[in-house]
Amino acid sequence: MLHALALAACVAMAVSAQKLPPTAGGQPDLQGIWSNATITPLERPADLAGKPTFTAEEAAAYEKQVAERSNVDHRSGNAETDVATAYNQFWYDRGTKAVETRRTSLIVDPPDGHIPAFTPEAQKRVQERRAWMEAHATDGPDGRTLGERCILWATAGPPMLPGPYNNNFQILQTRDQVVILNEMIHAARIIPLDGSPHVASNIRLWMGDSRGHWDGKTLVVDTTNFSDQYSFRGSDRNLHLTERFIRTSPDTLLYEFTVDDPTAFTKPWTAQIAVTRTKGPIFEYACHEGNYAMTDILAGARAAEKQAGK
Amino acid sequence: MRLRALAALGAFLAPVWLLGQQSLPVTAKAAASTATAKNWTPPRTADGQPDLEGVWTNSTLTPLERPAELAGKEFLTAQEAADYVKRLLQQVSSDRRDGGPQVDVGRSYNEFWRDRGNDLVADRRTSLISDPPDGRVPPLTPEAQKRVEATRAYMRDHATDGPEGRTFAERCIAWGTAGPPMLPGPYNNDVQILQSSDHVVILNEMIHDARVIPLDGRPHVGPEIREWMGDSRAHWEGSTLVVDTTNFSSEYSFRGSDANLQLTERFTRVSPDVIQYEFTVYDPTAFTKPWTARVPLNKTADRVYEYACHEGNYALTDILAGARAAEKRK
Repeated sequence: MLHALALAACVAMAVSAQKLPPTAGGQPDLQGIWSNATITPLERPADLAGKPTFTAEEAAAYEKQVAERSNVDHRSGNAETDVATAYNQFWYDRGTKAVETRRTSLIVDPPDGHIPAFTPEAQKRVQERRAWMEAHATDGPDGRTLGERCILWATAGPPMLPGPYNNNFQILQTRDQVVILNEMIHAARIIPLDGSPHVASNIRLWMGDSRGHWDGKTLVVDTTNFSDQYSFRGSDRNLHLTERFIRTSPDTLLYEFTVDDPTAFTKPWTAQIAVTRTKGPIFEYACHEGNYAMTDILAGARAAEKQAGK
Repeated sequence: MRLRALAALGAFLAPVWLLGQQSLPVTAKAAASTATAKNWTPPRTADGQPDLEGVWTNSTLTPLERPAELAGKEFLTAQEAADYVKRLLQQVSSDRRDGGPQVDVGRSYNEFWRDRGNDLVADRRTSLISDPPDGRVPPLTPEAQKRVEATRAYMRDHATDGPEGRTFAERCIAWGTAGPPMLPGPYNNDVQILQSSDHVVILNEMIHDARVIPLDGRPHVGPEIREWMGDSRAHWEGSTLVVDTTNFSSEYSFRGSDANLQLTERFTRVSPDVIQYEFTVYDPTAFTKPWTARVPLNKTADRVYEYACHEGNYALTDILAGARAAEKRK
């Protein structure tokens, strides 16, 4: 119901955006640099169960509360805690505002704002994977996360989500392709709009194989062919991701994505993020440079083994 | 210089069938290609720009610099080219098993993985460098010479101290052929170009970086901002896309360049299937004069996929771990 209302509101906004000039190729113009920074979490927090939206006052109070809670410049006096926050507020760019609709989760469907339950087979796979990662956490780089290895970032997507920093992406359109450059991990997706089919099912990519088309004023991007080493919140290689981009005003886009993976989730789920124009520019992202953490974690494990007389 | 000025007008070297079997004087070639350019109108994008879009390959056996054995010979005849190609392909083949165990084990990364092409550039020039006419990178300035030697000595002395003693390619940060400027290498020689009304995107298969280049006349970023791939700005000069790149990181060096490198790349569609790509390296603190190279980009039906560099890059860890083990043994 709420989902329908939110969509109706967005459609109303989109109507006002229809006056915006199209691209030279006659497409709705989504081009520019956009930020998806927001403090609204993907899933509804437990203490907000049953409360799909805030009032304006509640949203303001929540924004204040999150700003205080996430402030890593706070110094508790506990040495260990404080050293861990040496990566301080300077580096963060997580936004200060809840989404404009004041929903308490980015997930709009299911209405409880939570990722649906795993299928039994996915539950088993995720548990086995977790156990394997725990057992092999320091065997070598392959036991670490893709983020730590500077290969992918969970928020860089697809789908694209807000994270602690690098929340900007740039869209460019040509007649038959659209380019989405994500600041996080700085990978650019070049997405054909020409109706060409997905690559063969034996070709598997970290970011999947994306194909775009126009559904009225909405850019729809379908992505399949994800690597089976990639998992978005428990998804597997059957993940079919649908992203929708619609311009809602000169300075806003509505970004919506639906995760459909019947072997992983008991039903599809959808999230919406209001995205705002930002000035930019986007610079290079350094992840791998200076990534001593990876070597140090592994070297530390080797030293610990030696001490333990292994 | 004259050649470069002509090139800027879109008067590129003529295809081989116009040249005939003899290499013609430069002016004749320029005239011939002007005629070709007149007979062929490059297509336009929806907003009227010359259309450079598509996937292109710069694979070629022609080396950047003229080999010593070809000194003084700017072009090959068709017969010389055929012999040279045959010899080169034999020389570089990693499928050979005649080098003794050590060399042959090194060749286990065999021809399957390579995509260096099997021909020279169409005009049969013996180097990609077109200026200076000797086909060689000009000498370094004395200060650059000193810097390059110091870096080399540092790299030698610290080769296994940590990752920073290794090359950018080994660290999967930048590749000598991915650029800018873009050069052919042993594989991943594809380049995808996309044009929107106010940006051009150049995706290089090698290291899979996309340059998103503004076309709207905005200035470069401030000089304190330094990037691995520099800061690129583009504009049109007639049918030629000109990309100016500055603000390179002082840790980046292209054949001896330093932080003052000003790179100019020119892209001109000269036929349905060829973009003439030309770049000029201008760095007065590094090189005693500017230099220019030309690399034809040929249309390909291939797709560009993701490039895996860092994944499975055990070599870096193994080199360093090996060095630690060797130290311990001493």
